[in-house]
Amino acid sequence: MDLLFFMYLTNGIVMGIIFALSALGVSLIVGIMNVINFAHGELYILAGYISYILSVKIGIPYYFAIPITILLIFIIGILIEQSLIRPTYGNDMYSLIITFILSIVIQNFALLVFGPFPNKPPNWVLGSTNIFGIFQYGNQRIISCLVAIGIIIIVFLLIKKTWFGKTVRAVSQDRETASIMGIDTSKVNMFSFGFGCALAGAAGVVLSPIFPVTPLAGVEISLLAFIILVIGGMGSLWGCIIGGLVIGIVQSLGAAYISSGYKDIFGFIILILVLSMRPAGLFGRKTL
Amino acid sequence: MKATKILGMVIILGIFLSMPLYIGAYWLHVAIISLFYVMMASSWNLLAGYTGQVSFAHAAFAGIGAYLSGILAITLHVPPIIGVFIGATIAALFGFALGMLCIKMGGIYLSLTTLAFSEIIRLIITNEYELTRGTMGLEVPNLIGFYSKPAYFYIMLVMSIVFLIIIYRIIHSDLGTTFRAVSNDELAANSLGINVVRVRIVAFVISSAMAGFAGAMFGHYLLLISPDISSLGQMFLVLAMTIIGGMGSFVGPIIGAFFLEILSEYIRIYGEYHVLIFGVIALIIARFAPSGIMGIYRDKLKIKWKEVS
Amino acid sequence: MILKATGISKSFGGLHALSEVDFHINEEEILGLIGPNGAGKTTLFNVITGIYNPEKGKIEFNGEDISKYKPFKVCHKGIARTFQVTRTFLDMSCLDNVLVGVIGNNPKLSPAEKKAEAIKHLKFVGLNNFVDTEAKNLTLVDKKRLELARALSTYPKLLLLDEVLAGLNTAEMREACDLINIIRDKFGITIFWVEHVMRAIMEVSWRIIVLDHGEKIAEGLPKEVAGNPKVIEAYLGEPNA
Repeated sequence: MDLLFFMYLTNGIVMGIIFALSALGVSLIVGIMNVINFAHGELYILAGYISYILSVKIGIPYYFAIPITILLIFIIGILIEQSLIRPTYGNDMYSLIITFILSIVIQNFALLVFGPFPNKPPNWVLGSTNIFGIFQYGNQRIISCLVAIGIIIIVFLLIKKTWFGKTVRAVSQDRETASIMGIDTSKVNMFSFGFGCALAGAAGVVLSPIFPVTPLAGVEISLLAFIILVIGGMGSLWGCIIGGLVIGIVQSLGAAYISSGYKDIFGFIILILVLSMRPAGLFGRKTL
Repeated sequence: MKATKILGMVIILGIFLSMPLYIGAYWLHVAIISLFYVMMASSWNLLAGYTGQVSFAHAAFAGIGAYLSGILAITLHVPPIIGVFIGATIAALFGFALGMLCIKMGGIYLSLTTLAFSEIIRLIITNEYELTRGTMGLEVPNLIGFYSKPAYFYIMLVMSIVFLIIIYRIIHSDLGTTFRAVSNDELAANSLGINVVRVRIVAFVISSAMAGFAGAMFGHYLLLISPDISSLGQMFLVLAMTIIGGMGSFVGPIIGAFFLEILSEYIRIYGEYHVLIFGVIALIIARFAPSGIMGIYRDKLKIKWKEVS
Repeated sequence: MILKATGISKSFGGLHALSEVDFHINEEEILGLIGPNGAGKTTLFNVITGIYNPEKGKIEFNGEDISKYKPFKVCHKGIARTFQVTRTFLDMSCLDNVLVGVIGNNPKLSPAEKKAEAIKHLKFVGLNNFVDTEAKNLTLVDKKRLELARALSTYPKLLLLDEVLAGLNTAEMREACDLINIIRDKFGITIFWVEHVMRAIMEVSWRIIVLDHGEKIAEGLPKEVAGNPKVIEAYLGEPNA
């Protein structure tokens, strides 16, 4: 077994966790509002660009830039929900089309403003660490992964323990009853969408020091998030984690051992295989 | 049909038929591109607007048609005129397979699956360098053996009219009614004796065959095809044209295709902003006037017309 | 017997929606189905019409085993239904709504004949002034009329009505009940209907079956069923002292 395998595996795990973070964002929105946010990946790249501007152009240190960026994306998410998604009450095909168009608009906007060249905020840490004495691994990747895990844990706690989380679960399970019981479903929608977008932004903030953002980079992020969503089942938190890891590892190993040009194809094939066998996804559950 | 309608159609037909006489080569080129999009948008509308299956694989089918016909012409010296039909048939087979794959899926999942399919096709085209020359582009022969813009324009015009007649007949037939019923409420349609699976697959096969045909025809005009033709960017253009023109109406996609293609030429003078602008327009229309230009015409202008006359 | 159901069972996850339900429908009778909410009435309709397949048991329609048939095939065999929450084709005109039923079952007619058929059925339910109105612009009552016309256009031998009286006022209910009787008398169509409005279903039905928690707990003439202590208990939750 060549030693590089462990590096590929680690890479797969690291990427998988960050993908899971991104998928959580989509899962939340789908679970609560039954809306697929096609522009998910574009919020990721916006986060990358914003953290780039904050760190490089304005000079804010990364530990401030990160939360500011995520907050900005949260606000952008709420604005999107209010202006575009809200009117599409219940019609999921409509929100799909509208967010698809939105994603193209943001891509081209980014192309216009930032140009086609990659941009990235500076690394938070430099150097690399020796993993188990087998290979050297970039520190930035390790830190990014840890931060992602941290955010995922916070999300879990938020959903399972807090009042907000309980409200969110109630609405996702039975919207009508929740509204009868006094829950303002439109506010829940608004915050959930913003929150879901913020998670996309978090993934962007965490990944952009490693992989610079380009206007088209969001497409793959969106697609991967959807694939994980489908594998993990709509609205299942653990499903996202497992799905993320599966995708991350399969992609990493597939690119290394089978073909790097076809790296992206594995996710799609998995998606089609899963959906054709279980049209409701592997963990198909509507509740969080 | 009313006399005024027939007269209008004759006039429009006359304008189109005489176009090569008075518009320059550049705008003839734009007209040919527009006709390609008319074919694409109208056939996509049949699937998405009429049966409610919002597929993102339409551009991929065009790519399948284009590359298949091109590769057959290059490797096996199949005359493009035949190659186009083979390309359309293979695209139809893929459409059948994709439709069957998606048959148990509802809206969102179906769209995601077609999206995955589209990307798989694009990746295959890009990676199978030996056959397709990947992103370098594949040089394919001309459709008719010689290069003539006016001739090509007429060929595309005739094919577009044929497509539109087929689509028109379908929409106004029993099949068209069942399309709309399936789109409105699949369960109810099923309970009324409609074989919903068959209806959905028929829609997939017809629309993918048309996309394959259009793609192949366009490829043999451009003489150089790239994986772009099957990209999501192309898919977006088709979608935007249909939405802006009016999804679910017959004339909508036609208007959308011409409108956007001509608009993009004017915008191109200032720079490559046209996609961004289309996106914004499409966003506004999707948000405020979801039935597109045709919807606005139907709701606002038709009422005014009735009041006046 | 036009329909015979034996041992019908259907569960969803751990929930036993139907357990070993046996019943039959006689030709040209009006059979009523009652039971408290969640008893499995709509599920039974869905099993009969092929929306669900029964896990256990068999459904025979005119001697033919239709248990595994898809909904459209069940319709071709002669069973039509209306839905508890109306499922009209909202973006289509009333004419087109009924046309779908005609197309589904009589595809060989000429376009003119199909249109005539559709208009005939719209007239029967009183919607002749709404031929070109889009279904989404109809009132609830008219939507129900439309569903009825649509179902009748398939020339069913057995018509399943799912809480067709819900949301109607007294006059409209009277009219609906009269219509149901006319459908049976004039066209010889067997009626199997679910209803919560007790007076109506007891008055109109020839026989009643009662479901509770997925099981059939009573069957018989309306008077007998009304006095059955098990039925009263199912509705009120406690036996009468």
